[in-house]
Amino acid sequence: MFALDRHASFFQHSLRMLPHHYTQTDTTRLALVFFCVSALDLLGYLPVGNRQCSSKSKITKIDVDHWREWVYSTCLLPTRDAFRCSPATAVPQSTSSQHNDQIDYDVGHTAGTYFALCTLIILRDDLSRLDRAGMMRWLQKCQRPDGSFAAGVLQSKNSAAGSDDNCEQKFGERDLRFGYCAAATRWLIGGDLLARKNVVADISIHQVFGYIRSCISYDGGIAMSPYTEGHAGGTYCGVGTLRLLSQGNINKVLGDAVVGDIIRWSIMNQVYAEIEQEAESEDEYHSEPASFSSSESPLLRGPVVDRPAGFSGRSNKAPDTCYSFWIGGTLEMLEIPGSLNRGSLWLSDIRASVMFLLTLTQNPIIGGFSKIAGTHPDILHSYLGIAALAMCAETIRQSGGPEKFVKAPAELDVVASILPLQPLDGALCISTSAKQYAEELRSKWENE
Amino acid sequence: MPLAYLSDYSWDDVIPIPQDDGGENPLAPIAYQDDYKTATGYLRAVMSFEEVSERALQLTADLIFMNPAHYTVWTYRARLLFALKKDLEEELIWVEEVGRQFPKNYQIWNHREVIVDKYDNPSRELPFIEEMLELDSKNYHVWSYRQWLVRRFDLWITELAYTDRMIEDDVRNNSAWNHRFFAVFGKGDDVSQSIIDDEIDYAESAILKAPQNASAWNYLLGVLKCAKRPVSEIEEFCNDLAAVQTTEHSVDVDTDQITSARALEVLAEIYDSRDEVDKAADAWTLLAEKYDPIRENYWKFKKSQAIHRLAATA
Repeated sequence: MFALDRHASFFQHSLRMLPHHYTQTDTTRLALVFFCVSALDLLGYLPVGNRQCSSKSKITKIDVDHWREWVYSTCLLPTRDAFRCSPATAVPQSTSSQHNDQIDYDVGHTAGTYFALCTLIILRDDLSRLDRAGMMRWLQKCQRPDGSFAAGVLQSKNSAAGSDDNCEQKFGERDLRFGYCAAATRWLIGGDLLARKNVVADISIHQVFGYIRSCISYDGGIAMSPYTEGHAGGTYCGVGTLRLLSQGNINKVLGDAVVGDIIRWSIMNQVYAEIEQEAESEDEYHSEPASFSSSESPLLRGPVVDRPAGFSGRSNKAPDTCYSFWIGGTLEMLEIPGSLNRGSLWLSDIRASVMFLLTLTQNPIIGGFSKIAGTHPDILHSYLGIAALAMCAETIRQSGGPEKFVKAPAELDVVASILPLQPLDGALCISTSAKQYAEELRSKWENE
Repeated sequence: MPLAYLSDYSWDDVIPIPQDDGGENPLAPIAYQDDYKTATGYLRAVMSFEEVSERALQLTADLIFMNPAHYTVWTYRARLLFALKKDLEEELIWVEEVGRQFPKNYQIWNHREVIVDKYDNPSRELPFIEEMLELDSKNYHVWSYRQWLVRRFDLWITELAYTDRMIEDDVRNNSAWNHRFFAVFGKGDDVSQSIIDDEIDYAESAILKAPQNASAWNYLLGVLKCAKRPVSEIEEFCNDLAAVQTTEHSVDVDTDQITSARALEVLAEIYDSRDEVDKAADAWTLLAEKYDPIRENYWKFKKSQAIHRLAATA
């Protein structure tokens, strides 16, 4: 069964204090905050918007106000045009200068900005404190000539006042993650509307499309960079970026055939969990055999239809909680031309997927989800597990209810237990009610 | 009061800058260990005026071992190394130590790229990559780094043989298959038909060893597509693996002989491309009901899509 209240307490505890082994996520703390706040939103624990909040929730409107203020006070740059990814990277401005090309390390981060904006939208902030046009100018600076985005831009302190572009240095890996964050940021602050009104120039959309096309792998998945391996995280980021930048018209950008390839690749990544093998293994990378081969001989194994099946991130790898979201979200966003169904998540085996998460990686005692069965839950996998289930719940609601998704009567209660989850918007990875609020802000800005 | 930061250098003249965690009730605060808390206090202090010194360099090293995902510290370190004109080979040796301890870290590869690019000498790289792939033969960052290295130093010549060896070790290593695709097509030159033939043979013989291996199938189909050759070229190969028994309008398989559901899928595509929808529909039904039931919805969807298309053109 879906342990809704346990999950809610897991995320509330996490918001209060995290053990020191989270130190490696210190410089991306806003991600953790976003995961916790958005999870509580999906679980119906936040007193925001018009909907009824869970009677068990003790979160008050005062808490919500405090959380909002905390995001601004610790992570918004003084220039109000970008967010840091953590209070840990704030470096107070020093007036003394040792050398001429001294760099200002206290800079905005595209992922931090995306996480901050999503958190603020969930908490129903109106974003009026931001310099939205300035944020668009900053996004332009983060874009590389090949269309990809950097995590941010380091600037020498002297050039910050002047205009010497040579002193700018983009930082961060070259992959699809920051492009996704930039696309989501542009949408959330109505950057497209500002560009349409000629308030500010837009990012180069066609360059972004070109970069994503160049990352499509021969196997149908999208890689993190051209010629690297098709990967569910890259696929989600690529498809999400297209969705956010193309007004939902991904098929027009990629063509129906390529979209069909991505759907096929995604569906092919649903694999049975090797329960015994997974429980023994601390880490998928070190499990034996070297490759995950559950699909090697179903032909000889007889009926396997009752077993849970999650999603892997790449071909021949073991299923892992987070890929239920990266693949599920990808499918949720990809439309099939002429189909009456929304998205394409319904093409996967929802029942097997729900069973994978609820019976193998959920921790029903302390709440949360782990990466694989038999390990400790962590915030990222907990949030993505819940986000994946929220999309499954919506598919079940829209396709005739849980009765159509079970193989045995005993499973009915289990599958139905996820239905209280709030619906999720796959492209932004926030609740659809939070997205609706963002849309309201956008139409207000449009009419300004 | 956190403990003093233990270092070979004197820090008496520096006033550490504590983290501003936003007051009484911070969100998702991490229970830092004291040494980390202290070291980051000094880091903020020296970063605020970008001190260029040996002690700052040592501080970045200490911090990276406490938190290798700290992204600004890596940038600072790279700038310090260049400003202090440090021996870059020594830096590479040090990065190897970090890599061994934190094999899944993103930042070290980004950093190593910056250093090796400047050092302009790839001699340590392939052995280190090899060592890291022995720890984890599918490490995404390591394979990506290898691609960068091959392009940067024009090391294409050895790559195909390397993937031979990696695929021999583990025929289902999708990263190795992907690297093979890169080795063949990534240079951007025209690829001769005889190389394409070799690659088709290579993939087919790998499939014969493990008929359900998605990596080899995807490679085979990817090579055909990239070379603009028709999938029907491998129809006979698929017929054998799927043990199909066909008539003009129907398809069945020999239950005892079929070894590959992927072969049946490819056949369905081939029939569909020839508008033999009856046969394609049979193949998809077999996949949905018997040979790949986890994807039942998908195979049924493929079938209904083909039937609709046929109805629309009729």
